[in-house]
Amino acid sequence: MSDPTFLLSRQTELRPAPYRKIAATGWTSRLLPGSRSEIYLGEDHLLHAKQIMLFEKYRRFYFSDIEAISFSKSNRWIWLSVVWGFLLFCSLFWYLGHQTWCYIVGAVFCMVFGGLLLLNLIAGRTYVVNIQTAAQIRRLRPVERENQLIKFQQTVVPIIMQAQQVQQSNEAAV
Amino acid sequence: MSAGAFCPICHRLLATSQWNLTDFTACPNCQAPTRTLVFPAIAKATFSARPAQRNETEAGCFFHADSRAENVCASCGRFLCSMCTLAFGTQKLCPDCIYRKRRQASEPPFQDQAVLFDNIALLLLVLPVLCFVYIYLGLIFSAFALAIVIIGWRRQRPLVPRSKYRFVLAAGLSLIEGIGWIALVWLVVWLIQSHPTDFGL
Repeated sequence: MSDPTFLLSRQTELRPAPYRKIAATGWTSRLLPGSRSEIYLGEDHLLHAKQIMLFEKYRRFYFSDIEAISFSKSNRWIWLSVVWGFLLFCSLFWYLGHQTWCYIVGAVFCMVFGGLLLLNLIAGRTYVVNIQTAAQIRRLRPVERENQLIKFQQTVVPIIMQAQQVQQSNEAAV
Repeated sequence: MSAGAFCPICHRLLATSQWNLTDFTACPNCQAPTRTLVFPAIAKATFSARPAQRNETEAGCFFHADSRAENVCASCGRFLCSMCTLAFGTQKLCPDCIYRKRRQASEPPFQDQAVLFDNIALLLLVLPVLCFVYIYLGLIFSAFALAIVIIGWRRQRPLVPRSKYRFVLAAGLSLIEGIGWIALVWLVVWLIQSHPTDFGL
Protein backbone atom coordinates (compact mmCIF):
# COMPACT_ATOMS: atom_id res chain seq x y z
CA MET A 1 0.00 0.00 0.00
CA SER A 2 2.91 2.34 0.67
CA ASP A 3 4.32 1.82 -2.82
CA PRO A 4 4.73 5.37 -4.23
CA THR A 5 3.80 4.20 -7.74
CA PHE A 6 0.55 2.74 -6.42
CA LEU A 7 -0.22 5.90 -4.43
CA LEU A 8 0.46 8.10 -7.45
CA SER A 9 -1.77 6.03 -9.72
CA ARG A 10 -4.50 5.96 -7.03
CA GLN A 11 -4.34 9.76 -6.63
CA THR A 12 -4.48 10.23 -10.39
CA GLU A 13 -7.46 7.91 -10.57
CA LEU A 14 -9.40 9.65 -7.80
CA ARG A 15 -8.60 13.20 -8.87
CA PRO A 16 -11.76 14.81 -10.27
CA ALA A 17 -11.78 15.36 -14.00
CA PRO A 18 -11.13 18.99 -14.91
CA TYR A 19 -14.40 20.55 -15.99
CA ARG A 20 -15.09 24.02 -17.31
CA LYS A 21 -18.54 25.50 -16.78
CA ILE A 22 -20.01 26.73 -20.05
CA ALA A 23 -23.64 27.35 -19.10
CA ALA A 24 -25.91 27.46 -16.07
CA THR A 25 -29.53 28.23 -15.32
CA GLY A 26 -30.21 31.72 -13.93
CA TRP A 27 -30.06 32.82 -10.28
CA THR A 28 -33.84 32.42 -9.93
CA SER A 29 -33.39 28.66 -10.32
CA ARG A 30 -31.47 28.62 -7.02
CA LEU A 31 -34.73 29.47 -5.27
CA LEU A 32 -36.60 26.44 -6.65
CA PRO A 33 -35.30 23.02 -5.56
CA GLY A 34 -34.49 20.75 -8.47
CA SER A 35 -34.45 23.39 -11.14
CA ARG A 36 -30.75 24.30 -11.04
CA SER A 37 -28.62 22.70 -13.70
CA GLU A 38 -25.27 23.40 -15.27
CA ILE A 39 -23.33 22.25 -18.31
CA TYR A 40 -19.61 21.58 -18.11
CA LEU A 41 -17.09 20.93 -20.81
CA GLY A 42 -14.91 17.89 -20.14
CA GLU A 43 -11.99 16.40 -22.03
CA ASP A 44 -14.08 14.15 -24.27
CA HIS A 45 -17.63 14.80 -23.13
CA LEU A 46 -20.22 17.30 -21.97
CA LEU A 47 -21.37 16.93 -18.39
CA HIS A 48 -24.90 17.96 -17.42
CA ALA A 49 -25.10 18.43 -13.64
CA LYS A 50 -28.57 18.76 -12.16
CA GLN A 51 -28.98 19.66 -8.53
CA ILE A 52 -31.93 18.01 -6.79
CA MET A 53 -31.80 19.56 -3.31
CA LEU A 54 -29.52 17.13 -1.48
CA PHE A 55 -28.03 15.40 -4.51
CA GLU A 56 -26.30 16.33 -7.71
CA LYS A 57 -27.05 14.07 -10.68
CA TYR A 58 -24.63 13.83 -13.59
CA ARG A 59 -25.25 12.93 -17.22
CA ARG A 60 -22.44 12.58 -19.70
CA PHE A 61 -22.66 13.16 -23.44
CA TYR A 62 -19.54 11.93 -25.20
CA PHE A 63 -18.66 14.07 -28.20
CA SER A 64 -18.26 10.99 -30.36
CA ASP A 65 -21.80 9.81 -29.47
CA ILE A 66 -23.80 13.01 -29.87
CA GLU A 67 -26.19 12.49 -32.78
CA ALA A 68 -28.15 15.74 -32.81
CA ILE A 69 -28.89 19.01 -31.07
CA SER A 70 -32.45 20.19 -31.75
CA PHE A 71 -34.04 23.43 -30.65
CA SER A 72 -37.49 24.91 -31.03
CA LYS A 73 -38.65 28.45 -30.39
CA SER A 74 -40.85 28.75 -27.31
CA ASN A 75 -43.13 31.50 -26.03
CA ARG A 76 -41.98 31.31 -22.42
CA TRP A 77 -40.14 34.63 -22.61
CA ILE A 78 -43.32 36.39 -23.79
CA TRP A 79 -45.34 34.97 -20.90
CA LEU A 80 -42.62 35.94 -18.44
CA SER A 81 -42.60 39.49 -19.86
CA VAL A 82 -46.39 39.64 -19.45
CA VAL A 83 -46.16 38.48 -15.82
CA TRP A 84 -43.37 40.91 -14.86
CA GLY A 85 -45.08 43.73 -16.79
CA PHE A 86 -48.37 43.07 -15.01
CA LEU A 87 -46.66 43.04 -11.59
CA LEU A 88 -44.86 46.28 -12.52
CA PHE A 89 -48.22 47.81 -13.45
CA CYS A 90 -49.71 46.63 -10.13
CA SER A 91 -46.78 48.20 -8.26
CA LEU A 92 -47.79 51.60 -9.63
CA PHE A 93 -50.96 51.46 -7.51
CA TRP A 94 -48.83 52.20 -4.43
CA TYR A 95 -48.47 55.76 -5.78
CA LEU A 96 -52.23 56.29 -5.27
CA GLY A 97 -51.52 56.29 -1.51
CA HIS A 98 -50.23 59.93 -1.55
CA GLN A 99 -47.97 59.22 1.42
CA THR A 100 -44.21 59.10 1.62
CA TRP A 101 -43.98 55.47 2.73
CA CYS A 102 -46.35 54.43 -0.09
CA TYR A 103 -44.04 56.12 -2.60
CA ILE A 104 -41.02 54.31 -1.10
CA VAL A 105 -42.70 50.88 -1.18
CA GLY A 106 -43.98 51.56 -4.71
CA ALA A 107 -40.49 52.54 -5.86
CA VAL A 108 -39.01 49.35 -4.38
CA PHE A 109 -41.62 47.12 -6.08
CA CYS A 110 -41.24 49.02 -9.38
CA MET A 111 -37.48 48.58 -9.25
CA VAL A 112 -37.74 44.84 -8.51
CA PHE A 113 -40.34 43.99 -11.16
CA GLY A 114 -38.98 46.51 -13.66
CA GLY A 115 -35.52 44.98 -13.19
CA LEU A 116 -36.87 41.47 -13.73
CA LEU A 117 -38.71 42.60 -16.87
CA LEU A 118 -35.57 44.28 -18.18
CA LEU A 119 -33.41 41.23 -17.42
CA ASN A 120 -35.93 38.98 -19.15
CA LEU A 121 -35.86 41.15 -22.27
CA ILE A 122 -32.06 41.44 -22.27
CA ALA A 123 -31.63 37.64 -21.92
CA GLY A 124 -33.45 37.24 -25.24
CA ARG A 125 -36.04 34.82 -26.49
CA THR A 126 -36.39 31.28 -25.19
CA TYR A 127 -35.92 27.91 -26.85
CA VAL A 128 -36.46 24.29 -25.93
CA VAL A 129 -33.12 22.57 -26.51
CA ASN A 130 -32.61 18.81 -26.67
CA ILE A 131 -29.40 16.87 -27.04
CA GLN A 132 -29.62 13.39 -28.47
CA THR A 133 -27.36 10.35 -28.37
CA ALA A 134 -28.19 6.76 -29.31
CA ALA A 135 -29.11 6.02 -25.69
CA GLN A 136 -30.77 9.18 -24.42
CA ILE A 137 -32.48 12.45 -25.28
CA ARG A 138 -32.11 15.17 -22.65
CA ARG A 139 -33.40 18.69 -22.36
CA LEU A 140 -30.66 21.27 -21.75
CA ARG A 141 -32.27 23.98 -19.61
CA PRO A 142 -29.09 26.02 -19.06
CA VAL A 143 -28.93 27.00 -22.75
CA GLU A 144 -32.57 27.89 -23.35
CA ARG A 145 -31.91 31.62 -23.77
CA GLU A 146 -30.84 32.96 -27.15
CA ASN A 147 -27.47 34.37 -26.02
CA GLN A 148 -26.59 31.18 -24.14
CA LEU A 149 -27.64 28.96 -27.04
CA ILE A 150 -25.50 30.88 -29.55
CA LYS A 151 -22.49 30.71 -27.22
CA PHE A 152 -23.11 27.00 -26.58
CA GLN A 153 -23.26 26.24 -30.30
CA GLN A 154 -20.10 28.21 -30.98
CA THR A 155 -18.26 26.28 -28.26
CA VAL A 156 -19.61 22.76 -28.64
CA VAL A 157 -20.41 22.17 -32.32
CA PRO A 158 -16.79 22.46 -33.58
CA ILE A 159 -15.60 20.12 -30.81
CA ILE A 160 -18.26 17.51 -31.67
CA MET A 161 -17.45 17.72 -35.38
CA GLN A 162 -13.74 17.36 -34.72
CA ALA A 163 -14.25 14.38 -32.36
CA GLN A 164 -16.49 12.57 -34.83
CA GLN A 165 -14.20 13.24 -37.80
CA VAL A 166 -11.25 11.83 -35.86
CA GLN A 167 -13.33 8.78 -34.94
CA GLN A 168 -14.41 8.26 -38.57
CA SER A 169 -10.83 8.51 -39.81
CA ASN A 170 -9.72 6.01 -37.13
CA GLU A 171 -12.46 3.58 -38.13
CA ALA A 172 -11.56 3.99 -41.81
CA ALA A 173 -7.92 3.27 -40.98
CA VAL A 174 -8.91 0.05 -39.17
CA MET B 1 -28.96 3.04 -38.40
CA SER B 2 -30.32 5.32 -35.69
CA ALA B 3 -33.97 6.33 -35.60
CA GLY B 4 -33.30 9.97 -36.52
CA ALA B 5 -33.68 13.39 -34.96
CA PHE B 6 -36.71 14.33 -32.89
CA CYS B 7 -38.69 17.54 -32.36
CA PRO B 8 -37.95 18.99 -28.88
CA ILE B 9 -41.62 19.97 -28.38
CA CYS B 10 -43.69 16.99 -29.58
CA HIS B 11 -40.88 14.37 -29.59
CA ARG B 12 -41.94 13.12 -33.01
CA LEU B 13 -39.48 12.22 -35.75
CA LEU B 14 -38.30 15.09 -37.96
CA ALA B 15 -37.87 14.68 -41.70
CA THR B 16 -34.31 14.31 -42.95
CA SER B 17 -34.93 17.34 -45.20
CA GLN B 18 -35.05 19.42 -42.01
CA TRP B 19 -31.58 18.42 -40.87
CA ASN B 20 -28.76 21.00 -40.72
CA LEU B 21 -30.71 23.87 -42.26
CA THR B 22 -29.57 27.42 -41.49
CA ASP B 23 -33.09 28.60 -40.73
CA PHE B 24 -35.98 27.35 -38.64
CA THR B 25 -38.60 25.12 -40.26
CA ALA B 26 -41.98 24.05 -38.92
CA CYS B 27 -42.19 20.63 -37.33
CA PRO B 28 -44.52 18.47 -39.49
CA ASN B 29 -46.48 17.42 -36.39
CA CYS B 30 -46.71 20.35 -33.97
CA GLN B 31 -45.74 23.17 -36.37
CA ALA B 32 -43.22 24.55 -33.85
CA PRO B 33 -40.32 26.40 -35.50
CA THR B 34 -37.48 23.93 -35.13
CA ARG B 35 -33.84 23.70 -36.11
CA THR B 36 -31.78 20.53 -35.88
CA LEU B 37 -28.02 20.13 -36.01
CA VAL B 38 -27.27 16.55 -36.95
CA PHE B 39 -23.80 15.03 -36.56
CA PRO B 40 -22.18 12.09 -38.36
CA ALA B 41 -22.76 9.80 -35.33
CA ILE B 42 -26.42 9.53 -36.33
CA ALA B 43 -25.42 7.29 -39.24
CA LYS B 44 -23.43 4.97 -36.96
CA ALA B 45 -24.99 1.57 -36.28
CA THR B 46 -26.18 1.68 -32.68
CA PHE B 47 -27.22 -1.92 -32.20
CA SER B 48 -25.06 -4.65 -33.62
CA ALA B 49 -26.66 -7.53 -35.42
CA ARG B 50 -26.81 -10.97 -33.90
CA PRO B 51 -23.28 -11.96 -32.76
CA ALA B 52 -21.38 -14.31 -35.06
CA GLN B 53 -21.26 -18.00 -34.15
CA ARG B 54 -17.81 -19.21 -33.16
CA ASN B 55 -15.84 -22.03 -34.72
CA GLU B 56 -14.09 -24.61 -32.61
CA THR B 57 -10.76 -22.85 -33.06
CA GLU B 58 -12.05 -19.41 -32.02
CA ALA B 59 -12.44 -17.97 -28.56
CA GLY B 60 -15.99 -17.65 -27.23
CA CYS B 61 -17.75 -14.88 -25.37
CA PHE B 62 -17.68 -15.16 -21.56
CA PHE B 63 -21.44 -14.66 -21.36
CA HIS B 64 -22.48 -16.45 -24.57
CA ALA B 65 -20.29 -19.46 -25.15
CA ASP B 66 -21.64 -20.02 -28.69
CA SER B 67 -20.80 -16.49 -29.87
CA ARG B 68 -17.41 -15.50 -31.23
CA ALA B 69 -15.36 -13.18 -28.98
CA GLU B 70 -14.65 -9.88 -30.72
CA ASN B 71 -13.44 -7.66 -27.88
CA VAL B 72 -11.77 -7.85 -24.50
CA CYS B 73 -13.18 -6.02 -21.47
CA ALA B 74 -10.76 -3.20 -20.57
CA SER B 75 -11.40 -3.76 -16.87
CA CYS B 76 -11.64 -7.50 -16.17
CA GLY B 77 -10.19 -8.92 -19.38
CA ARG B 78 -13.14 -11.17 -20.25
CA PHE B 79 -13.71 -12.06 -23.89
CA LEU B 80 -16.86 -10.42 -25.19
CA CYS B 81 -19.05 -10.87 -28.26
CA SER B 82 -20.43 -7.87 -30.15
CA MET B 83 -23.64 -7.96 -28.10
CA CYS B 84 -21.89 -7.86 -24.71
CA THR B 85 -19.40 -5.13 -25.62
CA LEU B 86 -20.47 -1.77 -24.23
CA ALA B 87 -18.57 1.33 -25.30
CA PHE B 88 -18.11 3.64 -22.33
CA GLY B 89 -16.30 6.70 -23.63
CA THR B 90 -13.12 5.35 -25.16
CA GLN B 91 -13.20 2.09 -23.17
CA LYS B 92 -14.94 -1.15 -24.10
CA LEU B 93 -16.36 -2.88 -21.04
CA CYS B 94 -18.58 -5.79 -20.12
CA PRO B 95 -22.00 -5.16 -18.48
CA ASP B 96 -20.78 -6.59 -15.15
CA CYS B 97 -17.88 -4.13 -14.90
CA ILE B 98 -20.07 -1.15 -15.75
CA TYR B 99 -22.60 -2.21 -13.12
CA ARG B 100 -19.89 -2.76 -10.48
CA LYS B 101 -18.04 0.47 -11.22
CA ARG B 102 -21.24 2.50 -11.13
CA ARG B 103 -22.20 0.95 -7.79
CA GLN B 104 -18.77 1.64 -6.30
CA ALA B 105 -18.47 5.10 -7.95
CA SER B 106 -14.75 4.85 -7.26
CA GLU B 107 -13.69 6.43 -10.54
CA PRO B 108 -14.97 9.82 -11.74
CA PRO B 109 -16.21 8.56 -15.15
CA PHE B 110 -18.59 6.16 -13.38
CA GLN B 111 -19.85 8.57 -10.74
CA ASP B 112 -23.40 9.55 -11.63
CA GLN B 113 -24.40 11.41 -8.49
CA ALA B 114 -22.92 13.13 -5.45
CA VAL B 115 -24.43 13.71 -2.03
CA LEU B 116 -24.39 17.39 -1.08
CA PHE B 117 -23.61 17.32 2.64
CA ASP B 118 -23.54 21.11 2.82
CA ASN B 119 -27.15 21.33 1.62
CA ILE B 120 -28.20 18.61 4.11
CA ALA B 121 -26.60 20.56 6.97
CA LEU B 122 -28.28 23.81 5.88
CA LEU B 123 -31.64 22.04 5.56
CA LEU B 124 -31.27 20.63 9.08
CA LEU B 125 -30.72 24.16 10.36
CA VAL B 126 -33.53 25.87 8.44
CA LEU B 127 -36.21 23.17 8.77
CA PRO B 128 -36.70 23.27 12.60
CA VAL B 129 -36.97 27.06 12.54
CA LEU B 130 -39.60 26.96 9.79
CA CYS B 131 -41.52 24.12 11.46
CA PHE B 132 -41.38 25.72 14.93
CA VAL B 133 -39.75 22.61 16.45
CA TYR B 134 -36.61 24.64 17.17
CA ILE B 135 -37.91 25.39 20.68
CA TYR B 136 -37.93 21.68 21.55
CA LEU B 137 -35.25 20.13 19.36
CA GLY B 138 -33.04 23.06 18.35
CA LEU B 139 -29.92 21.77 20.09
CA ILE B 140 -30.26 18.27 18.60
CA PHE B 141 -30.73 19.61 15.08
CA SER B 142 -27.79 22.00 15.37
CA ALA B 143 -25.57 19.21 16.77
CA PHE B 144 -26.57 16.94 13.86
CA ALA B 145 -25.87 19.71 11.38
CA LEU B 146 -22.43 20.34 12.88
CA ALA B 147 -21.65 16.61 12.73
CA ILE B 148 -22.69 16.52 9.05
CA VAL B 149 -20.47 19.53 8.34
CA ILE B 150 -17.49 17.75 9.93
CA ILE B 151 -18.19 14.44 8.13
CA GLY B 152 -19.08 16.01 4.81
CA TRP B 153 -16.11 18.40 4.64
CA ARG B 154 -13.90 15.53 3.44
CA ARG B 155 -16.49 13.07 2.14
CA GLN B 156 -18.30 15.41 -0.25
CA ARG B 157 -16.75 14.77 -3.64
CA PRO B 158 -18.75 16.40 -6.41
CA LEU B 159 -17.44 15.99 -9.94
CA VAL B 160 -17.67 19.68 -10.64
CA PRO B 161 -16.01 22.53 -8.73
CA ARG B 162 -18.08 23.50 -5.67
CA SER B 163 -17.27 26.17 -3.13
CA LYS B 164 -16.94 25.29 0.58
CA TYR B 165 -18.68 28.47 1.73
CA ARG B 166 -21.92 26.56 2.42
CA PHE B 167 -20.05 24.37 4.91
CA VAL B 168 -18.67 27.45 6.68
CA LEU B 169 -22.15 29.00 6.68
CA ALA B 170 -23.71 25.81 8.06
CA ALA B 171 -21.04 25.50 10.78
CA GLY B 172 -21.55 29.13 11.81
CA LEU B 173 -25.35 28.79 11.80
CA SER B 174 -25.25 25.56 13.80
CA LEU B 175 -23.11 27.23 16.48
CA ILE B 176 -25.42 30.26 16.57
CA GLU B 177 -28.53 28.08 16.74
CA GLY B 178 -27.03 25.82 19.42
CA ILE B 179 -25.90 28.73 21.60
CA GLY B 180 -29.22 30.49 20.93
CA TRP B 181 -31.16 27.42 22.06
CA ILE B 182 -29.11 27.15 25.29
CA ALA B 183 -29.63 30.88 25.93
CA LEU B 184 -33.37 30.50 25.27
CA VAL B 185 -33.68 27.60 27.71
CA TRP B 186 -31.60 29.48 30.31
CA LEU B 187 -33.87 32.55 29.88
CA VAL B 188 -37.03 30.47 30.33
CA VAL B 189 -35.61 28.78 33.45
CA TRP B 190 -34.51 32.16 34.86
CA LEU B 191 -37.96 33.66 34.19
CA ILE B 192 -39.70 30.73 35.89
CA GLN B 193 -37.39 30.93 38.90
CA SER B 194 -37.64 34.71 39.28
CA HIS B 195 -41.41 34.96 38.72
CA PRO B 196 -42.86 31.58 39.75
CA THR B 197 -46.34 33.02 40.44
CA ASP B 198 -46.68 34.25 36.84
CA PHE B 199 -46.27 30.66 35.66
CA GLY B 200 -48.73 29.23 38.19
CA LEU B 201 -46.02 27.69 40.41
